[in-house]
Amino acid sequence: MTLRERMLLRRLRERDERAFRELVEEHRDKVFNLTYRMLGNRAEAEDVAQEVFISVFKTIETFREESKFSTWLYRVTVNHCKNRIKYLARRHDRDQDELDEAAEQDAAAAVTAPRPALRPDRALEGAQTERMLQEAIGELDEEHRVLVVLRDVEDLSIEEICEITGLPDGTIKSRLHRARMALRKKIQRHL
Amino acid sequence: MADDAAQTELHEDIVALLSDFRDGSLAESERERVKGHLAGCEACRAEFAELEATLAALEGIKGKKEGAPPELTSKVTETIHRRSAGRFFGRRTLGDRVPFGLLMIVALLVLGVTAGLLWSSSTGSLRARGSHAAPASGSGQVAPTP
Repeated sequence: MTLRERMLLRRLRERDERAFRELVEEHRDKVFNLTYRMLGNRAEAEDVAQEVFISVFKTIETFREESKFSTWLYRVTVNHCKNRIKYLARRHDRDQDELDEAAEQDAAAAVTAPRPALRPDRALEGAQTERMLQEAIGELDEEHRVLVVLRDVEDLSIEEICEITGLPDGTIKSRLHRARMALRKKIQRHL
Repeated sequence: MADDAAQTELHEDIVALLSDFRDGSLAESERERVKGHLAGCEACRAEFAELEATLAALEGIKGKKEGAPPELTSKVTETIHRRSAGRFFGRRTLGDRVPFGLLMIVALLVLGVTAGLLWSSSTGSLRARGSHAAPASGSGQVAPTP
C-alpha cells in the first residue's frame, strides 16, 4: 500500500468528506463497470454502486489492510451485487406469480408478447452482440456470473478472485469452467 | 462396458481441464496430456472449440468499460448526509464548493485592486515617503488663534 493510500485511509477513518470524494472519484468507474456487468442494467448498477460506497463509508474501520484496498472494494461490490440479484429474482418470482394469477382470470392475458428473435447476422453487430452477451451473463446463476465477470470480463487473476470470493483455487477453476460452458449454452440459445 | 465407463471418465477428466488448458495454468505434464487427448478426440475438440468461441465473444466486452455517471459522487455524499440525519457531510466550506485555483485568482485580484486604490489615493499610504508631494503652505492648515 502506497503512502498516499495510507493517508487517504486515515482521512477516511476520520470521516473527511474531501477524502471520501477522492475515493469515490478514483474508484467509481471500476465499481460501476462491475455492477453493470453483474446486473446488466444501468439504473440498477448505479443504485448498487451508490450502496457500495455508502457501505465503504460505514465499514472502513473493518478494512484491515491485509489485502489491497481494491480487492476489499471488489469484495464489497460482489456481495452487494449478489444481494441485489437475489432481491431481483424474488421480485421477478412475485411479479410472475401475479402475472400467472391474472392469466388464470383472463385467458387473453396469457398471451405474452413474443420476444423478438435475434437474427444471427444482426447479432454479430457490436451493440447487439454486447446486449446478447449481457443477457446471457444475466441468465447465469449468481455464483457462475461472479466468476465469469471477474475472470473473463474484469480480467482478474485466479489469485485475486480467491481473495475476493474467499473460495479455494481448485473450486474457482472447476466452477469457472462450468460457468463458461453454461454461458456457451445461453449464447447458443440467443443466437 | 468397463471400457465405456473408463472412456467417459477420461473425457470428463479432460473436459474439466480445458479452461485451465486454455488459460495456460496447467502444469507441463498435464498440458501435454490434454494436448495429446485433443489430437485424437473429436468430441473434446468440439468442446474446446465451444469454449474458445465463448471466450472470444467475451473479449468484445472485456476492454469496454462502462463509465459511471459523473453525478454519482454527489449522489453518494448527499445520501450519506441524508441517512446520517445531517451528522456527516453537512457543513460545506467554501473550498469544497469552489475550486481552490479560482479562489486564489479572486484573492490575487482583490489584493491587486486594493493595492492600486491605496497607491492612487490622496494620502498615498503605499507610496514611499520621499515621493509625497509637500503640502502647499496654508493650504487647508489653519493657524491657531491666540
